[in-house]
Amino acid sequence: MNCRNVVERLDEFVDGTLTAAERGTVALHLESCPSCREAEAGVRALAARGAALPQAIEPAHDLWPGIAARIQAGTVTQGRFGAARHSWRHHLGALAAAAAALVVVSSVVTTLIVARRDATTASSRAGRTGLAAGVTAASLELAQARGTYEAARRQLLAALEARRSSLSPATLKVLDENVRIIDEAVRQMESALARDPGNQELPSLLVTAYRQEIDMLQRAAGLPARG
Amino acid sequence: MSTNRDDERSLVRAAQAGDLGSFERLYRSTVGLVHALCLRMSGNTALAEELTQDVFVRAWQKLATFRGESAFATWLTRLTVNVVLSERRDRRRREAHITLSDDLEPFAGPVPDARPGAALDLERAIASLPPQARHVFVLHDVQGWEHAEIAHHTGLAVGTCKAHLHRARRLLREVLSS
Repeated sequence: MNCRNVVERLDEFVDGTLTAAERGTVALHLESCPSCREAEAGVRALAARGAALPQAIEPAHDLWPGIAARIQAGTVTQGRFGAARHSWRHHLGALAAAAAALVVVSSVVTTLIVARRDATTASSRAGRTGLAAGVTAASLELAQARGTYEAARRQLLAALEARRSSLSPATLKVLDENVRIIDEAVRQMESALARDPGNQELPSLLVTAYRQEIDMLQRAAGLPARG
Repeated sequence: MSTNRDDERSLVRAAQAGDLGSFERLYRSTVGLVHALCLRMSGNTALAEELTQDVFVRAWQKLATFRGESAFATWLTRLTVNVVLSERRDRRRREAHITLSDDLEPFAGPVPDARPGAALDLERAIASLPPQARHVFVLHDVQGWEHAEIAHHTGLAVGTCKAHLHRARRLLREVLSS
């Protein structure tokens, strides 16, 4: 069994779900391979960190009054976006939180990833085969995702534009600011990817950002008009 | 606030009989567990609070089906997972015209060398994972569920769950070792 085969089985090795024969083979390889032992230690450390996370995290504020009100009102519907009982202020809070989370995650991760691109680009480029220079399976997938994202974004922005007059100035201000923030986060990640097209992590982060922006715009398009 | 098993049984029985005060005590003793799971699985603070409310409303509605064969927190945890996954399925149906794939496997890169240090907080790193990888990581590595149980709740094959866990761990190690 070579290093690649072993690395593919490390999760199950650490979790104890390999067959006895496979486990023995992996263990034998680990005895003689420092780099695979290091990878194994990394998987074990991560699993341990996950298991050590606190099981309980109290919400920032008391949710009971809202729960009790829904129970007493006999509310059956789920409470997600679109339910009429939520105020427009509540919806905007969710949008702002989504935008802020996206910006924090994308900017920090992008910075860290780009900072170490020199170390990873050489190895990733060496692994590419069967495609024209500069074209990877990831770049093709990303191009498809970007096309879908841009079309959906245009539609949703047009839908929002059509109902601007039904939304309050305060609502519009928050919406416009969130769109600007998310667009900037996406632009930064696309820019980073243009500088480092062989980067392994940025495409998946970008697709996640695309999805988050579409999700936010859909929520915004469904905001109730202010009464 | 915590309750022992006898107190819990009494509170559940009273709540099943319609006593909202007893249900509030059950809420107080378990809301942190539910909220943590909603937060980690959704990766979104505002959504997690909405989901937490949904879970307790649903728990009240389904309380008659709780027979005390497991701890109330265990029953509530399973209900929470169902509510979170159901919300995501409903949202994806509403967004059916958006065809961005959740399967990012083509983007997968080689497993990097382990590096010391944790530049990003693990919680934030988990929140940045693709949804299905995040769900499987949280249920397996944080909640301690077996792949078979995760597969049962998510509707994924066991092998697919294992692939998502592998991908989640790889992405997390990438980010945390940066």
